[in-house]
This record gives sequence, C-alpha cells and structure tokens, in this order.
Amino acid sequence: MAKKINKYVKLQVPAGSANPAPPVGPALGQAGLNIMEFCKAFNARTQDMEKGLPLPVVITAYADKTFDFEIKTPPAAVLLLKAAKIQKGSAEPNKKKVGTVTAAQIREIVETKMPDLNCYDVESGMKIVEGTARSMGLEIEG
Amino acid sequence: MQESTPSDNRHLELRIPGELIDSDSFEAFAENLHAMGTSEETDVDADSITRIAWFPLADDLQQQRASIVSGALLLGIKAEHILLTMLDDDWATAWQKHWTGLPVGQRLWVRPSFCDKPSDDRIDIVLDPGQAFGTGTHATTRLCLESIENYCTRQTPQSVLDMGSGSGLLAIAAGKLGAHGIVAVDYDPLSVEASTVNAKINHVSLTAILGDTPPQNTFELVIANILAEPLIQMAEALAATVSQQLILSGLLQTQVDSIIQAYQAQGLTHLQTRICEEWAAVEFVR
Repeated sequence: MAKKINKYVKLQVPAGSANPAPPVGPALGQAGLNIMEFCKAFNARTQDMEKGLPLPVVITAYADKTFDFEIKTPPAAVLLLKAAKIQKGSAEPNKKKVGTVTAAQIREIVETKMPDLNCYDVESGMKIVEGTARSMGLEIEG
Repeated sequence: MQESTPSDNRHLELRIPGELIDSDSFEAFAENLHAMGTSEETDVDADSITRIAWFPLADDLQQQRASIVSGALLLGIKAEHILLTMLDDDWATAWQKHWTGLPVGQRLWVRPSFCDKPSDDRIDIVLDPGQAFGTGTHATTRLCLESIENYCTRQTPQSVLDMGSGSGLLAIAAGKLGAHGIVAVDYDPLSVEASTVNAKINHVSLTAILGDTPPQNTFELVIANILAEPLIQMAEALAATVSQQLILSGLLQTQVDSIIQAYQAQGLTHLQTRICEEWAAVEFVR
C-alpha cells in the first residue's frame, strides 16, 4: 500500500560497519526509526563489499515510522583516493598536485558509479569524474 | 560527593538550512571540524532540506561552539541560521520513546516488544517496527484488523490466506483470534522471513510462502492488503481462493468502485465498505 513519506535522510555509512553512533543513531533516532534494524539490514546488504568503504544511503522515513533504504555507489572522490593510493586531496588543487590516476582507473570508477551518475554513456561519465579528480589535485595519465 | 562522569553518548549537533550551503561545502566544513558524520534531511511536507553534522564533545565546549559558529560565519551563514544542540542519548534505545502500544478494534492490542503489555484483557500482538512492513499504525492495516476481528468474533475460520503478508501482522492477528490453517504469501523474501519470525514471537502457527500469485486451494477467509492495481490484476486468481469471505484493502476511497466491479465479475457479492481517513477496506462474500 502507498505509505505517506515524512522524510528522506541521506548519509554516508561504512560498508558492513553501521552502528548506532552518529551519523546513523541521531539521524534515524530522531525520526523514531528502528536503528538496530537498519544497522542489521545495511550490514547484511553490504557484507560482500570492502569493509569500511563509505556508501551514501538514502533512507525513506514513512509516517508510521517504518523505513526503506537505498544504497548508492561510493562517492567518486573516495574511489579516486583509493585509485591514487592517497589519504586526502589537495587543499590547493590548481597549484599543488598530490597524486596521479590513469584514464583506465577513471573508466573503472565510471563503470562502478554509472547507476548514480547523471549521464548516458561512459565517455560523458569520464568527463564528470575527471573534473572531480582535478578538483582534488590529481593528475590524469593516459 | 559523587562526581558525575560525562556520558559517552554526548554529541554536539549542528543544523543549517540546506539553501544556505551546498552539500559539498558543508561536508568539507564539517570534516575540517572533525565531525563524526553528516546527513541531509528532506522534510517532505515542508519541502525543506536541512544539513546536519555531529561532533564529539570537546573538553572546552565553549571553544568548540565558537569554532563551529565562526567557521559557518566565514561561509557566509548568519548566526541566527545556525542551530547547535547538545545531544545526550543512547541511540540504540532512544528511538523507542517514539513508540507506544496501540489498541485496535474491540479486542486487539499491537505493540513493539519494548512497550508495555495491555493493561486490560485485550489480545496482545508483539510486532517490532523495522523496514516498511505494516506495524498496525496505517489506516488500511487497522481496517483489515477490525474486519478480521469482526469475522472471528462470529465464527472461527478453519483456513485463512493473507496475500501480501508483509510483517505477517494480519495473519498473526487471525491466529491470535483463534483461526486455523493460516497461509501467508508475499513476493518479497524479507517479508516471508518477517512473517515467519513474527509468527514465532507471537506463538502463532502459520505457513509463510514466497510467491506473487495466490495458491491454488481455497480458504474460508482471505485477506489482501496490497494496492488497487495488483488487486484488480489478480482478481480472478484471488477470488478463486475464497470459499466464504474476502477482505481487500490498501485502497483509496476513489478506487473502491473499480475493485467492487472487478470482484463482482468473479462471482463474489459485495458485503460492505469501511472507510478510515482517505483509505477503504472492502468485504465480499461468496
């Protein structure tokens, strides 16, 4: 049956490691949603992924205080840091470059993120992710 | 004198209206101040977005507040738009305060396991809230529960089908009201699991089946709380399972006529339509 939606809550939760600490606890708790049920379901659905990988989640909170949730693909910035094997992007991306990624790595990231990217083909997806890479101070090879 | 130890659950929560800052800038700002996490909350009725960040409590709370406020001011956000609140909740249980037990009809009481049992002699049904299954609070669930109660008060059903069982609440209620031979069908494996687990918790014997079409055999009482469109699509197959009474819900008042038409065409007689808010439950007999 069609249930009335009260809120959408968007947050990032590490794969396989959801727990009642912030952001999950207060974000869901203030909406009266069963936090442990969410953690259990989220951890079960992400158990085969790399543990700790931050995943954007959109939770639909219904008026009767039940919920649904949708797990999105990891943020491009997180995947770029992993590909470049660095911890943090550059504070001055125009002046200070902090790492390098290859075009093949960018393509792989786009293929992972394709369901959530606002584009129709891999080539235009690559342009979006290359933009993110440059804004983090990463150079692109190949 | 005994000193109170600060709770590990204390956090500082920052809320800023979404239109004042974009999500990337807010996340970068929160990360610089060592936030434990951020969230974007969309209030559907108010059509507004709020950006929220949570910080572990620093030793010098005044200094911490000042850093957050001055950081936000640098991003062009005026002080009157910044809401900083100290939270002190154990979130593993704090969400439960939003819940209470719920009387339904004349004889039923639906409650999460952490709420008190009914104080009178109502029949106690335990159902923990979770993912989007019925918890008894939705109008259509209440309408169905009342119809089941009415039927079971008149006679004890020897066989019951709950088509689209979700949490299993309707099937469980029938069992608690004395029904036998209960079958719960749902196309979602999570629902089949939830129906099985909830039936065990409530000491009700039922068979939960994965499927998107009604079974071949007939049942004395058939309940389906789904949506008008699938109910119309499965009218022939669902009507064929009914030996005595059918309860349909998940319908808006505006959809009642087309449901009556679809099921009368299958040889069932319209008994009554009951309304709650904008929702309806329609009952048929063979």
